[in-house]
Amino acid sequence: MISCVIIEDLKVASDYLAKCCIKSGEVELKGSFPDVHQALEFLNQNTVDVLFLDVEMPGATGFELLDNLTYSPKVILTTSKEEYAYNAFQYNVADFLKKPFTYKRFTEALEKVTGKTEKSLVGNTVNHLFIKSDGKLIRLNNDDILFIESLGDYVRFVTSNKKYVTHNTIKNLEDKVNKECFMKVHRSYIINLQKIDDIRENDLFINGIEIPISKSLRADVMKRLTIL
Amino acid sequence: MKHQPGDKKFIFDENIDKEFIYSLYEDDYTYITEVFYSCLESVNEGIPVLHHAFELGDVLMVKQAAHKLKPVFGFTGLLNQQDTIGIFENVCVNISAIDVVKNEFEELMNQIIRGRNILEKEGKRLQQFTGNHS
Repeated sequence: MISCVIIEDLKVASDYLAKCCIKSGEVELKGSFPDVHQALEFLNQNTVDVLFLDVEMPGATGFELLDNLTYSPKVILTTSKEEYAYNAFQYNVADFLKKPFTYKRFTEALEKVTGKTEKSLVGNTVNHLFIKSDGKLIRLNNDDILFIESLGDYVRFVTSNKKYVTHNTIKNLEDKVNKECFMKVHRSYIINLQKIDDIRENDLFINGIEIPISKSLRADVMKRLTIL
Repeated sequence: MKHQPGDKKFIFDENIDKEFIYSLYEDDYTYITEVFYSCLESVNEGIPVLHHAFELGDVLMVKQAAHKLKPVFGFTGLLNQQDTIGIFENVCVNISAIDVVKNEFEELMNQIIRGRNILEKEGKRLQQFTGNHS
């Protein structure tokens, strides 16, 4: 099942989309929101595979939502204006549904997304990630990241020579990072397993920085180490 | 014999593109009724917003308010209304003062009100129809 949310202020369109999702049997609808603000609140705490996203909504546009999202779900734009096609291309939108659309057209859009999401559903194995910081997308190689630290609604990516703060949570990142390299060792920390210098009791050290290990996760951490 | 959408005939108002309606909802008349009522509500909410925007003389606001009403008519097969709004939106792109499109706005409002009245009438008829066939 693909998880999705609908972000659409027009009730009839939102209800119709929800009906299409249910009819497909392939989509689990996690929520439906009439504006960007409410959607962001949800999406910053929960990850989904697909957004059905209207563009013109009260308060902020669908593109502004994409600018503020800290991860990149697949996006299907639902709008009644074709002139957004250029922006859609820029934002790597998977498809563009002009309202009102038939169920057949909906399933075509879904097929595009299904093809695209297959990779993410089997897990992230890429050697880099992009984070949004200081108004831009910054590429960080997995090798360069020492650890990721929670700052409440934000996280800090720590590399050997720089720190980047971005709006996200450890809970959200846990599913997004490459699990071959990274591991959650504490509710506030995800570490790069290759960067551990030493472990003492319930703490580990990376570049001289002490990081706590949760009691509940300690056994899992030890399993991931090659201990001779 | 295979059941085709529209077998259990409801005779839509001639201004409504019934083929388009069936392409969206097949012959789920209960849902079609819900759609009509939901759209009527949206139009009733949207009309004062559009009027207000025009009175303020805010071209962008007028364009946005009109844009919001466009798919409402689309979802109910009132494609003339949908097209009229689309044309009006395009006109608004190239103007800086709303007075320039005063006549077009009046025509737009007439179309919207006409559409609203059809929605209201058809919503009631659909409700009666689904009541009789349930």
